[in-house]
Amino acid sequence: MGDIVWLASYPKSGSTWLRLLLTSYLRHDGSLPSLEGLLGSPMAASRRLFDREVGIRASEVSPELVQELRGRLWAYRSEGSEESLFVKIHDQYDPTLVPHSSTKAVVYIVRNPLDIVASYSHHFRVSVKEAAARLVSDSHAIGGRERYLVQRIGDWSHHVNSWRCLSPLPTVIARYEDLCDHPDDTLTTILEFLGISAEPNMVARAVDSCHFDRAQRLEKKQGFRENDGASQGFFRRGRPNGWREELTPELVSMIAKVHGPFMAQLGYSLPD
Amino acid sequence: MLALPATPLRSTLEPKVRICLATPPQRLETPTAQGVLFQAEPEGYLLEVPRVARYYAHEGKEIRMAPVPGASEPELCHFLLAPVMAALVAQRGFFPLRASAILGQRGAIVIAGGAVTGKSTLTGLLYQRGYPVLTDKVSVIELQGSDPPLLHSGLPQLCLPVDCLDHLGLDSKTSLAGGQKRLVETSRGFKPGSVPVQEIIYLDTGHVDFPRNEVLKGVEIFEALLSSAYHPYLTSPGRLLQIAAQLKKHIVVRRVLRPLYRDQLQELADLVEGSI
Repeated sequence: MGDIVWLASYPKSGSTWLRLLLTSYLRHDGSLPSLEGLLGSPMAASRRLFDREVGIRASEVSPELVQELRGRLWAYRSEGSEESLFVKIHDQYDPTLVPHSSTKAVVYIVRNPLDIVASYSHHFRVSVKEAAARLVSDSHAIGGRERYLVQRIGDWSHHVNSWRCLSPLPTVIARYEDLCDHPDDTLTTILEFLGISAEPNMVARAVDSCHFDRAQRLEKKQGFRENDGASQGFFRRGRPNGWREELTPELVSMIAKVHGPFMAQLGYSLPD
Repeated sequence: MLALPATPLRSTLEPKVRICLATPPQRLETPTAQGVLFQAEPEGYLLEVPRVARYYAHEGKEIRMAPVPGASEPELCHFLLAPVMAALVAQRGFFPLRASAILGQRGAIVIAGGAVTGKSTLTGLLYQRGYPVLTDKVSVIELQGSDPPLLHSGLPQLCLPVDCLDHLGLDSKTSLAGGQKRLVETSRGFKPGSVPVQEIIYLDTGHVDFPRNEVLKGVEIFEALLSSAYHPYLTSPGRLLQIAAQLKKHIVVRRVLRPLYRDQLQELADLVEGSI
């Protein structure tokens, strides 16, 4: 039986870049992989996978049963797999959804919510103000159309808390900002947490070949199926602290007021 | 006794399919396809829907079902008449599509497509514009060699998302999918029996600003059929290629693309109606 490694994150927190790095290291000897077939795909919320492998369509049953069946789907896939499954997930942690007995570990990638706002706005084609409002909304959900099932996201603090504190699963928290500033060290920490030997030369090669600019160029050249058309490009700016240019003081203040305590816990300095 | 929705079709002929309340097998001996809730082999299909029922369709002749106590009748009927009946008709050699169908001037317009693409909603709009509904959820196609394919009518009803009902000016209290959908009667102009297929529309979404359509050719027809076949694992790829080739001989298969993030339902209905 293969065990599942959940690659969990709030949307637009850099999990796809992490998947690129992991795929490069684990499947391509450190070279730049194609964007199709990244580890973590199909996503936990893939509607096509659900409909095909569960045997009834998600649109035919209640949301509660969909949630239960999603958990059973991943337990079923894990039973049928010889090797570890990497699965990208954006939902808040929910024991119904994440089968403990099939789970090996969780890699939770966290990003400064102030930077998420602009990235979210660009990706989902909503105003920056609307994006900020969603990051503080407990009822926030994404998906529900053709490609992805409804995913209960909630506000940023609850999302972080659900995976960091409420989940009993073995979890490593990786900050997106650390992945940007110290990619070799951060990738090594993640690999070692997963019990995978981190060979320094190959880690360096993977980091070099998957540089954010290269991912951007690759997306422009090949396209990216997971970019469901809501935005022009999945890989946008990538650099931390872009919020200083993109958010109004009012929005910064709103985010900091709601998420300040968790931001501080994770080492994100609060604006003056 | 389970009350099935009344079909206008009455016959004194011997029934071809027997549906009974009886215990289905726990599992199939040698399934050729399986998933979380189902197992299938060429002559058998087993489905267990939590809190609804366990169903077994076999040899194209019989469906056994064991309802869960307290299960809602509309839910019991839905799974019986959609995935389970689709498996049974596939066992009988028909080709079931995930599609609804309306009656056009020269035959049935079959509206197929992936999940949540708006097939039933589009069908509801066309019903409002005067086109009778022939079936929803499952369209049973019969290929007839050198003659045009036939569509076998289902029941005069549509299963619609709740938010569509107001939009379409329809009403119903029969709830499905945990209250997210309603079953609406559409008996006006219903034609039981079989109707020649005029056209298959494959409804899809994409990066377009306005709905548009294109006639599919060759392998595109095969791909569209594969995407919208009910239980594709019950039809071999070779058989699917044959079906695609036969359909191409007799009818038009069109892909209708609607914008990914804008509904534009009336424009979509205009486009489809233009070809009917």
